[in-house]
Amino acid sequence: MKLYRLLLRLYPRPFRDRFGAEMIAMVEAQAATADRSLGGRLRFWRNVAADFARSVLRERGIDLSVPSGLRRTNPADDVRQAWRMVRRAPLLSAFVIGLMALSIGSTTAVFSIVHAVLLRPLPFPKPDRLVMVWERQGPEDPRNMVGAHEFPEWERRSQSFERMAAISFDREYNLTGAGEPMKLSAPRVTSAFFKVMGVQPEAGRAFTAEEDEPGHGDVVMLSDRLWRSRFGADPTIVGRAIALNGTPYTVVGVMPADFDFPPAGATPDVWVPIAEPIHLYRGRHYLWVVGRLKDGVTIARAQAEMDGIAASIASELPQFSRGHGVNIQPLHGEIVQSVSQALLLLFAAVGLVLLIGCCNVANLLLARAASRQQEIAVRVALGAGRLRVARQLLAEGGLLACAGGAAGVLLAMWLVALARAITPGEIPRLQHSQIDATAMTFAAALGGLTAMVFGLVPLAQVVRVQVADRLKYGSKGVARSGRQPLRRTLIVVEVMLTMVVATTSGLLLQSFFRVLRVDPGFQSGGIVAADVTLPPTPYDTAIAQRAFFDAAFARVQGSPGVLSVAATSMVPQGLGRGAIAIQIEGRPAPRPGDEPSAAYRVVSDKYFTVLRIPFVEGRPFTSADTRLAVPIIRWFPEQRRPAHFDDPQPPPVAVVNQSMARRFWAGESPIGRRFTVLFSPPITIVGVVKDTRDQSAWDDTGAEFYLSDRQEPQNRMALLVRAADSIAGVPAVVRSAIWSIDRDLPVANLRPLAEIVDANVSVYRAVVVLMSAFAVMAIVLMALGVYAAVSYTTAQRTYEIGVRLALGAQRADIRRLVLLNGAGVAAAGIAAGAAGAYALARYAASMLYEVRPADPATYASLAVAVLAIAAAAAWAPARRAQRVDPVSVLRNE
Amino acid sequence: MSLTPAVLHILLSLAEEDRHGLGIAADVKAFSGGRLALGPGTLYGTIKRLLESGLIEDLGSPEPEDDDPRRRYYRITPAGRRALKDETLALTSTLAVAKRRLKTS
Repeated sequence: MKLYRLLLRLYPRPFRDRFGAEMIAMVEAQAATADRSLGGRLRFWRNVAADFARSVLRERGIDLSVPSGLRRTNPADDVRQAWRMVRRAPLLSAFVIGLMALSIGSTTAVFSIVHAVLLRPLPFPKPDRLVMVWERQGPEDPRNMVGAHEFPEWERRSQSFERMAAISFDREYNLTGAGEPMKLSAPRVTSAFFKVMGVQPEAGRAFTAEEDEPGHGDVVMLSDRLWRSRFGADPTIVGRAIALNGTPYTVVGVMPADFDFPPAGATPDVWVPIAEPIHLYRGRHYLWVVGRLKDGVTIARAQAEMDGIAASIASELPQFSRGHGVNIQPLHGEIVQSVSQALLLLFAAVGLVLLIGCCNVANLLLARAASRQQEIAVRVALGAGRLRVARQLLAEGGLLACAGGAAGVLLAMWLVALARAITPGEIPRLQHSQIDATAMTFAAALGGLTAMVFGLVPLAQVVRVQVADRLKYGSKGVARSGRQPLRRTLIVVEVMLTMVVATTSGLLLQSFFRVLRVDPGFQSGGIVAADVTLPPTPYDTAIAQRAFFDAAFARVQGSPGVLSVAATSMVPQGLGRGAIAIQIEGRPAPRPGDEPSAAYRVVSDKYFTVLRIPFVEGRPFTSADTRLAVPIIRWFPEQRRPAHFDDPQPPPVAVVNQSMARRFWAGESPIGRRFTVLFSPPITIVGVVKDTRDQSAWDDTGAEFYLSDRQEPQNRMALLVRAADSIAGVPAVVRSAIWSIDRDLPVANLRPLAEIVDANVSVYRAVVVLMSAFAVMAIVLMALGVYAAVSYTTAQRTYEIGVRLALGAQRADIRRLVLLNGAGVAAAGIAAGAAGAYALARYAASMLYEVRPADPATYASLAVAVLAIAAAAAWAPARRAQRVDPVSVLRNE
Repeated sequence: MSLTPAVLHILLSLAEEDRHGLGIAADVKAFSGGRLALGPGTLYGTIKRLLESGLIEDLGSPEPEDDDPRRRYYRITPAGRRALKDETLALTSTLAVAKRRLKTS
């Protein structure tokens, strides 16, 4: 009954005032006498509702009554009629379809990427139970790799997890013995890993707990990809041995094709057991931990439990764990966190462009409907029911939307394929994006929604057509302001949305150029990088590793086309980041856990020369620094000192960057000062170099020191080869130089250093390019919209303008009138748009580099630009208005 | 001009006696054998148009003590009776033609 009172409000007020009380009384009385059963009551209210729907339209003057002779019309007739109308205005129709295809297509494409990357659950059973468990070292370092002494304790003490597993990416494996040597992506895992992920091998078995034991780790599981590409999908592979780093490993299983551990970045080729006494490597932070929460345990509860465990470990082993917390994050969030903000930003932007497109199409169809009012009036006068006319308009909108939607889906397919092709591997899970059923549904929903808008906007006009007036006055009415507010609103909205998209992309574009202009402090041009990883046999000692790289430097250096060669433990701006705890000699020992840390790299003598990193003072490493006792860093106190440690030999030395010099030796020269790294002997500083951004383009590296590969040999180095002139021939030369020493060594990731540096900004660049494309689309659509609207309004006002001119108005005044009309609309849109842009830019603030979200220059220049474009779009119609001939206009009346 | 079913039935109902809205609806339902159920919206919408065209008149509310004060009574006007008569004649001749042609006695 209350509902019925509410419904009554929908009748026109006079009707409601006059009959409302009587109607309520009647419904009450009828309800009282109606069948009390549920079915009876339902029938009663259904009848009331039907009566309401029929009569409210009638009282509102919306007459949908259909002459009974026309009642049975075939829907196919509507479509045929609509097709006729569409064909009669081919240009307009093509334009509308194109607009829709563009907006629906790009929105669907972005949606399908967002869906694949952000929305689709991970391909594991109960994926919401999977979490990454990081070690938290203070607020700045919430995702540190987990200490080797901590993981076994976590695993043993925690109750929140069904299982936990550790993963390590610290070793490299080269596959030999079957064709060219190949460097494998080979995470080492504890046997629980596959149970945590909940995935069974497609052949063979997973690792057993026994294979976690030291000495039992010579087993391997293959990825489906490697099994197919290197072993021809051999069904008898399980049980056979393959050669990893020259050692036989028995294949125990093959994982299914879609199995991946996405946080790893590169899809693993093989998995091997960690199989080492993890708990002994105290203080070594090299594990990733993934866990499966028990059913019903929330992340917050697990976090609370782990906080307690971390606190007790910290009190038991303060020298290794003081200040170490735990940070539990859902696996899905970890995978997409790097891109979710960028994707949502793009999604927002493309959604706004879609809205602009819709405004435009609505505006166009509104204009057309207005020009067709007379035709519709004639149809109504000739006996076509308004329902019939309305159905036909809806059919027209539907036809346009279907065509636009279909074209949009095709465009989206192409765009998604393009996106997958141009950003390989940069965006997790992107390769899963496709125009699937969900994306199709999304596109269909978009199309349906726009079709409704297209159909209904003119429809609202049709049902109000006053047939007699329309036929009497024809199209030359004076002030037909009825639809003006809606049209103006559409334009204001268009300008506003354009301003939002354009300003946000303007801010991003600026910060992108700033990132590109950042001087990394090293020269990447003309350098080829290559990864070389030495297997444990025959390179089982630091001495053997150093001997290999010395020989490699000599061979490469002597090759044609090579200017100089160096090596580093981590390629500048590659993916690796390493920081290590240090202690400055002569300073009071910090409390355990509070040690300062610094980034570090192990480099060869010529590193600074090849990369052209200038020295501020001191000297680079030389052959005179070659030590007998290597390496110098010990990771835990029980580790044996290397042989010849006490023999007379050159002291350990380091080169530091300016930031490190400033941080620890402010106002004095650090040359000759000493510091220790973990359990190393004191290391003397011999040189200071300028800072480089060798971790990423936009982050300051901070304090960093370099050790010499003569003192801290590595089994894995990236060669950096500076070409004499062209880098084209360098890769082949490097390969043959390495293979002339050891035919079984893979030379991996041979590519220009500039490419690695560029990969740093590739996702950012893709975002900026797309945002700019959306901004251009928005601006073009907005200009078209303004042009169409001003043209139409001006055409409608021709008579008024003619009168004004006849009454003595100057032609310049007329132009001003028209332009001001446009400018006012644009200004309102720009003001609202600036506010919207600020909101969006605030959301994207972390993607801005040295540009504030409220950067006034960007806002001002884009406001001017948008205003200028709107004015330019209004210019041509304004000139037309100026040329109106009052005599002919008035005579035609 | 032929009358809509709602108009015809309301006029027929009021031709018998003055009635309020609910009374009209109940009467129409009864004499149409339940085929025409007038909902409140349709009923009062039609009443509004009949009042405007002068085919019926509004008698106002009854004395409070003998009825629900929200109810108003309506009476058919002479113009209404004329329209009803014309319509009935037209229907009769239509009916005759229909009977002849459909041979349904």
